[in-house]
Amino acid sequence: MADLNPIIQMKELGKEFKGSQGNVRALENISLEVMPGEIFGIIGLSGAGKSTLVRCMNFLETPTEGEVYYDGKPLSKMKDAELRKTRQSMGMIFQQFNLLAQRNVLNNVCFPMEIAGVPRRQACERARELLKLVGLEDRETAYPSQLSGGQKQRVAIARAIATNPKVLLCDEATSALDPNTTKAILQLLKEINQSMGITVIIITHEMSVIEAICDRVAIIDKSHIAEIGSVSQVFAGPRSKIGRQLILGDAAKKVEFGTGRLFRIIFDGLASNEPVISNVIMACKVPVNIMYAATRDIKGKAAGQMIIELPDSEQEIEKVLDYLKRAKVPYEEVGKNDL
Amino acid sequence: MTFKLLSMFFEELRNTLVMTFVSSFLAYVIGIPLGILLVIWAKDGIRPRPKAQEILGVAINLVRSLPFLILLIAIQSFTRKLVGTTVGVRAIIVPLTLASAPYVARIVESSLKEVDYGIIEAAKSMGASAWQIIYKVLLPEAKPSLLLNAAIAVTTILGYSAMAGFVGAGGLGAIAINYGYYRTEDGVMWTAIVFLVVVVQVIQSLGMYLVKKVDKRVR
Repeated sequence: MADLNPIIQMKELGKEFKGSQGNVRALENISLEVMPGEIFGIIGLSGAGKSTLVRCMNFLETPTEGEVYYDGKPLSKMKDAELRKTRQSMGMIFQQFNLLAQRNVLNNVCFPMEIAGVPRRQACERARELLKLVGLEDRETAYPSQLSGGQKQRVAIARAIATNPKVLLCDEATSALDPNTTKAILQLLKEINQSMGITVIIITHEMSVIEAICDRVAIIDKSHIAEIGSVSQVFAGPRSKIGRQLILGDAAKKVEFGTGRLFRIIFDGLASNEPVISNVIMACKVPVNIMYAATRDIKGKAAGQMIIELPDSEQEIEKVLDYLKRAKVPYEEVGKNDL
Repeated sequence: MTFKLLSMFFEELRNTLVMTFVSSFLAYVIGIPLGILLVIWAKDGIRPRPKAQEILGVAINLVRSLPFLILLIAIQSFTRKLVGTTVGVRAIIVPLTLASAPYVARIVESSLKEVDYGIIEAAKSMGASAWQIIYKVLLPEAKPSLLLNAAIAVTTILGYSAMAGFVGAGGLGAIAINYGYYRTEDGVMWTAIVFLVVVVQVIQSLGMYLVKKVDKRVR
């Protein structure tokens, strides 16, 4: 992927909304590159600016600073007609599906092709093909109100890729769905990514979505990019406070921590087969208190974290850390407020 | 009731219906484009022109604030220029249309505003032009609401048409004035009222029936 040019590139992008109670900065100094064929995740808490960010990618929102490049071409320099043409090569799906309520499933999928001027017969043919792909070929005459949430999102996906876009933007596409449906929809997105080579950009507030299918992730916090990197990297060692918060989740917060010093141990996949903790205890003869632990399967590799509490004794801590260093297990000290 | 009286009722019913439906049709021909402009020119519309939208809104309110009878008399010279007379069914259609069009514009505006912004955003993300959004998204998605409001508009215009009696345009309203008011023949007047009630019921029911038929959302 290194020798390819980014399909979407944002350079020092900023967005300010004018409001009656003063201006609101939704995005500030956002620079990122999305490579063709990858699944790129953008995660943040609600209000962090991620939905605005994805809308800047197809200029549904016009950024107030910086530039967005699609396939190397700056969007802000495009005339209206050219911009509309470009949008046809970027499909988009939404949290609320946004299907046309007065059109049946088949005509919903035909809709973007009508806009693009595809002849009716050809459009119907393609729509049926896509409905088959998303597993709804027997529902083409149904109306959106007769479908479940998961089915609606499948129709929306078929609709979004009808004009053969290079990019699929997903704005909280699974946030209104139950966990099982979410899994199925993510699986479908992954299939589409792999079989058609469509670049997928996923906006979400759920870490589980990122870990399920994303290659790379950007964490957005308070209008800024807090960190950006490959999913396994970010999961193994989140550098930002918000990253740790999102990855560890609220579970860590609820724990009543004792008085000792806390250390985070990171398992990068290699070490996770070894019984590190029992080795530490046996080798150092130091009581270790496990405060929090989680292991996740990221792209087939086990990546985990554990927060342990060590007794408040300089000597004993030294012993443990020394052991961890020799065993090549990465660690860092964490404060109680860092979680 | 004599046969003569009964045939008069049907004659005036015909006049009422002609006045009502021709005026309603013309009011929609003018009102739909105005309603669309009110929506797309709004600050959060798809072609924002807030200044122009405000001016249009004020103009619409101005006409709407005139009571129909006053408007009818005030524009008499305009009516004569347009249709060559100020009496009869043709003459009443001019003020009736003019009075109804701004009202129609407002109810069309409110119907179109009901369309979920997310759907418009989805159309935009597919590269739809403003024109495509209007005739492929706004109007079809608002269809049930437009029809429901049309039933209300037509019955309101029917109400206005009763005043046509004052300018010799006939209609059921004229029967009420001539027989009920000037001759105090209560029986005839009440018959006119029954006719009007039936007409309004039929129009309203027809509207509801159509809405139910075209609306694809399950309730």
